[in-house]
Amino acid sequence: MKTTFKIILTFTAITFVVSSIIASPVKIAQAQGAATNVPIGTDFDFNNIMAHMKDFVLDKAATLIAKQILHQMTVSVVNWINTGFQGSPTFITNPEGFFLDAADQVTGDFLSREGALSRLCSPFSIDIRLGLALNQTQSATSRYTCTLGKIIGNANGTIEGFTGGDFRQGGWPAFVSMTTVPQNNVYGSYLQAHSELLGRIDTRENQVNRDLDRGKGFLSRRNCTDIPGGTIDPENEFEVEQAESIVGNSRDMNRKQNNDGTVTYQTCTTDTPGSVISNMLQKQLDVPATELELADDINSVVNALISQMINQVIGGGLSGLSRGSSGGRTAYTSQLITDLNAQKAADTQSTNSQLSSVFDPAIAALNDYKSYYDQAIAAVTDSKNRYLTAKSCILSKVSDTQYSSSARTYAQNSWIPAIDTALTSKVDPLLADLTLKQASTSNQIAVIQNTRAQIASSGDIQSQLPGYQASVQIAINAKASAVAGISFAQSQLRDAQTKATAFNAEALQYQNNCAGFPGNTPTSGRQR
Amino acid sequence: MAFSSLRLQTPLIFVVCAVAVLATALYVRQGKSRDYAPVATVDVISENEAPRSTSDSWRSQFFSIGTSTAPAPKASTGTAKQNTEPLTLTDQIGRNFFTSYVQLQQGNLIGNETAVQNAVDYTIDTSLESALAPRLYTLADVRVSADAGTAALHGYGNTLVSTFAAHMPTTDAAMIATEALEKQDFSILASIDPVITGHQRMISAMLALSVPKPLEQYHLDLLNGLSMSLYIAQGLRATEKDPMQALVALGTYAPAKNTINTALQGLNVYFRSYGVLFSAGEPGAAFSNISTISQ
Repeated sequence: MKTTFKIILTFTAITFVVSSIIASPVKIAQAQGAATNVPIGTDFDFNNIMAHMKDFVLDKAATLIAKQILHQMTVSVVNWINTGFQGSPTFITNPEGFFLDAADQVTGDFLSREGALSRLCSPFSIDIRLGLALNQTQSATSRYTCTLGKIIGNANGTIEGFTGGDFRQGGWPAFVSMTTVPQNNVYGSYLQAHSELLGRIDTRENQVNRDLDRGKGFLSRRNCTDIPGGTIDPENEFEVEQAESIVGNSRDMNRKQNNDGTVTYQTCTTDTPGSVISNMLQKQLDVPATELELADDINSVVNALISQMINQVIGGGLSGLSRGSSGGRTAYTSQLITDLNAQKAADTQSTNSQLSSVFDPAIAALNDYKSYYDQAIAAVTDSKNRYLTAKSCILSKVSDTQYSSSARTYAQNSWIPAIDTALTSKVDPLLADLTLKQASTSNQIAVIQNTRAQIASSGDIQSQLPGYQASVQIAINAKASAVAGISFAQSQLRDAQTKATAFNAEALQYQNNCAGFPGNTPTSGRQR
Repeated sequence: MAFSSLRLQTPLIFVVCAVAVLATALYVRQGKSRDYAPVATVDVISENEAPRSTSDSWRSQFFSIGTSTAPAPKASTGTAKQNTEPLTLTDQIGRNFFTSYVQLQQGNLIGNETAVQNAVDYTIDTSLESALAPRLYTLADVRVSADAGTAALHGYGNTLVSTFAAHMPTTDAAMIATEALEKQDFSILASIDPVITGHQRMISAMLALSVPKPLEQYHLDLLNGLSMSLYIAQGLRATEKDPMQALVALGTYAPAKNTINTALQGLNVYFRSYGVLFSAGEPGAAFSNISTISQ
């Protein structure tokens, strides 16, 4: 009994996908404090369960996997870069030149004659630019020789005389202007320019932060490393106090709970794919000052990539990835869906033929059964018509005054009632009985044929099978009844045919009476 | 004497001229040989040497005409030959992404939303082309029995449920993978191994099972549903190293479960329609639970 119970339980789990689908979403819903009422194994609606499965498990799994994709993809690209772009992709025949160029553009744009520093006073503009370049690029200034050479070429001697000691070339106004307006002296200009450069960096950082927000945190990933000797026993108050005093509330620190109960302190940095890839490029190519530009750009494309992937999986439902791209390509799972649809079509055809194998024989058996009653009704109806023909003939004679009154009275009172009696007492009851059985059979045939037509026009038989179950049962029962009733119907036909023969003979007699009227009446010969 | 000197000079001059002509001819010939020697490959212009276009319009057109025509190379192609370890789907999408990024950067198109969108679409599509797919069985894989009598149907129902009861995993791969990702503890993924084994055993058992002819389609659907479930479990098992394949596998979750559910319902209806009843003690009695499911 226990085994049977286990089997039933297991099979129930299969039917509702798996038991964990039912139980686990509840745990998650409670853990998240969601307001949604999740069924706890009492609602056996498959679609409902799948909807909750999607909300509480699959969407979450997809989001977490997307983050893992981002991480693993970054690692993979970095490894690729580290191996020197093994495989030499054709997009980049000279990566060093490409990225050096990018770095050069950043510095060159800022320091160039047309750039933000273009209106610096000539005598010290070079000093400031050089100072900024040296400060920003540190040991790699030789890489910017070309840009800086152009700036050096911009120097002219208009104010040189003044700063060289010739007070007459500007006088007091020039002196006041140089000392009070920041950009007119070397120190103020340097500070101003440096401030602006920091401002630009800050703007870039804010832009990256906005990208992070747009990416719903997909772009950021905390990279934590254990602090050597930073593992403590949380039960040891002294160790805890000492560690906390060092760490404080720093957001760059993380406390990792170990399986053995100890706690390890970690230092963390928040990396984005752009920064990781960019830093690795910088390291490999020894190109400084590129990360601000490249990291931002890489992040923006990564953001678009991941968002698109998430949209395809979550936005498009968990049939996900089924949407074709804007380029008209066939998405991966569309092939799978096509296969499933083909299977469904084949399944529908198979089910259709199976249902036909139930309905069609039932309809045939009922038609066969009904045909006996059709024949019987036709025979009796013929007899009735013969009676009616005789009656009509007699009535026409009765109303004809050329015949004697007594002969007409005889026919009126004797033959007509006899015909009426035959019709009402023998023919009509028999006919009514036969017609009732015929109509009942016709109704059964109509019901089954309607169901059959509905199935033929249905595109999804499988999902409607439970609804057809009653019709299938009706068809099976009707066929059994029809087959079983065939011999009875045959006997009824034979009986009806025998009776019809007798009716026909009697009707013929009345027709003959009419034909022989009035000579065959007891009052014949007596004329009016 | 003078005459004889002249006579001696003539052949000398001829010899000197002949040597000079031969030397010149030889020099010219050698020079031609140098000129026509095959150039050692470099027909690719480096970025530094390539003249920069003043207009980016051709680049915009290049990236905007549709991803299917973008001649971006598959970054993985060349590399795969040199690496002994095959690239995962995530590796491929990473490289394809970086290739697209560099192309956009070179084309100064990072700020062009259409170009970025097309590049992203192209990256996803080209990467997914090499994604693993679940094995889909056909009717030829099903062992069909000609016996479609009530006893055969009855026996099939009982055996099927017994097979499920023996091998069906009681845990779900998606739940396990979610837990592993949440905790960032990928050792948890090992818990998917029994799920994979269970599905493999069920598939093997179902392939060996003799199926009455009228039920072959339902059996095939069940088989394919289980095959897709196996594919999902295997994909999620590799979540750490190849999360892209895991995501693709997760995308087939709903179709897989729908296929299994529909097949079981179909079997249940068929059994009922043909009066195949299971007593309370039989494994097939589990089919009575299915009737409560509403579609």
